[in-house]
Amino acid sequence: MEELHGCRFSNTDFYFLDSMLWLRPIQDKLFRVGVLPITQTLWGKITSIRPKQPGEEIMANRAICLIESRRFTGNITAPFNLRIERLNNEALEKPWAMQRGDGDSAWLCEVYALHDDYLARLKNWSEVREMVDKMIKEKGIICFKEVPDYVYAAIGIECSQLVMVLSDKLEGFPDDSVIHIVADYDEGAERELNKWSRITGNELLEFKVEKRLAHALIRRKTRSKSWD
Amino acid sequence: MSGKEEVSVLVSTEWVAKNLGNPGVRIVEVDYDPQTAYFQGHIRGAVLWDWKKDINDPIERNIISKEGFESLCSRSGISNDTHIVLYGDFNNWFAAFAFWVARLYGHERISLMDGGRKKWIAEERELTKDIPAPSVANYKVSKVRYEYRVLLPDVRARLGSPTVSLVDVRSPDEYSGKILAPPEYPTEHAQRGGHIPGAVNIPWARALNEDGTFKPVEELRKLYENLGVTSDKEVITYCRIGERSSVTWFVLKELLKYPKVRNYDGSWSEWGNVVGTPIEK
Repeated sequence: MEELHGCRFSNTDFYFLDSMLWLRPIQDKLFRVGVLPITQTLWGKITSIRPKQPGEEIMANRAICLIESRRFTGNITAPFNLRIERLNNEALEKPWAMQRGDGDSAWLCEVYALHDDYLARLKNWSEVREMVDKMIKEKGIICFKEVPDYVYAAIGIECSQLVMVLSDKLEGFPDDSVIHIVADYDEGAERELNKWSRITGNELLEFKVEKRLAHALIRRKTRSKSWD
Repeated sequence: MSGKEEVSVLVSTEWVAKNLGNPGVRIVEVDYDPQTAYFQGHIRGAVLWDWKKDINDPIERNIISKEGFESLCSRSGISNDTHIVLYGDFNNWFAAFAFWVARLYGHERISLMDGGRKKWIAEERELTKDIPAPSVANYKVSKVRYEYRVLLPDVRARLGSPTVSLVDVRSPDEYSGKILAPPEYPTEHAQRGGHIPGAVNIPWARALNEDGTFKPVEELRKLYENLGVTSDKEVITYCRIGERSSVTWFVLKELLKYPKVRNYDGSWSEWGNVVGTPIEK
């Protein structure tokens, strides 16, 4: 595994960046397929997935499945002529599990290559590493172990005020939702957020600093019934 | 008048696929987020209208000016008699907004692609990343239909009128004031929650099928009439910034042919922030 800006990539997988896919060889011509964690930023959290069914044969560039997030609708297309062998129920029930950046992301399906030229459009990690790194830098991609439901940009709010603003803002988010907060970084930011998390019960899941910006991942606590 | 035949305000993805090379048709993708939509692939020949940059005034909070609309159409290769076909991301919200703006500036030959970008993709129709370079046209606005739009003072003046229906197309939680903004837009909240007094809550999505296409006209008519929104009234639609309400404006004005339908594009992000506006919860 290699980690780039919090996004983890296997150096033994194949990659098909047209559809943001990784492909893991299991047996001869049989691959396990999943989506790259960088889609967290590029697509947002995947909320639904409509796959083709096992047994279906799919030509290269045709859709394996339709995916949707709040701001993205797109087809994941086949890198080569293939047959879908198996779908992963975890990915169907929780599509965002495929986008986790912890190196343990759920896979989408297993596919069987129908012809011998299947490697022609796949790249290995060393071939795509530079391109992926460039994409991460250019698009400000950041991967978390949990996929955020929402992003709250708090840039311009001083750290001392941030925790006060957050308590107010979090009221507008659903219980248990995961919120990616982007704020200007200062040295006290993580300490303040940790303290605020202990006091309020909103869980600070991750804290990262990239390009002088603080990225905090917070799980909004469940409101007690008496608050409703 | 163009002298050409009338066009349907709603065209199917199949119709669009068959008219890709039609020189009288200009397909336009209207996106809120072109990076995750148009630039990932769009209908061949479709030009991009970026909702924030192209349909809104670059300085003040307002829709694009008459001159701005003329310039936008001209550089998009659109003449006064071009049939414009709009589609876009977010269930056609912003395409519907652009439709409303185009109608306001008097464009006659215009359609929405039913189901929008989502349906086109779900049907695995061709997408391209090629950016078209249409020849510049000479577009002139000849009439402005101010009656399609309503501003805050006019809404306020109509409060309590039995001949006016206010339709709040936001989610029930926004309508009730439980939340100040959809969680997707946490920085765009209003100071106060609730709705305009007398408004009925009919979320925009109730007009759509699962695949994003509009429900049949008779079903739509029942939906609105059963909730008191009838064609004999002046109807005002609103949401948060006027884009979801453009979908409902389209349904009432263009599909159901209600004579007086206005979109209040200031919507809740204006009403819920202005000092002294009455609010109901």
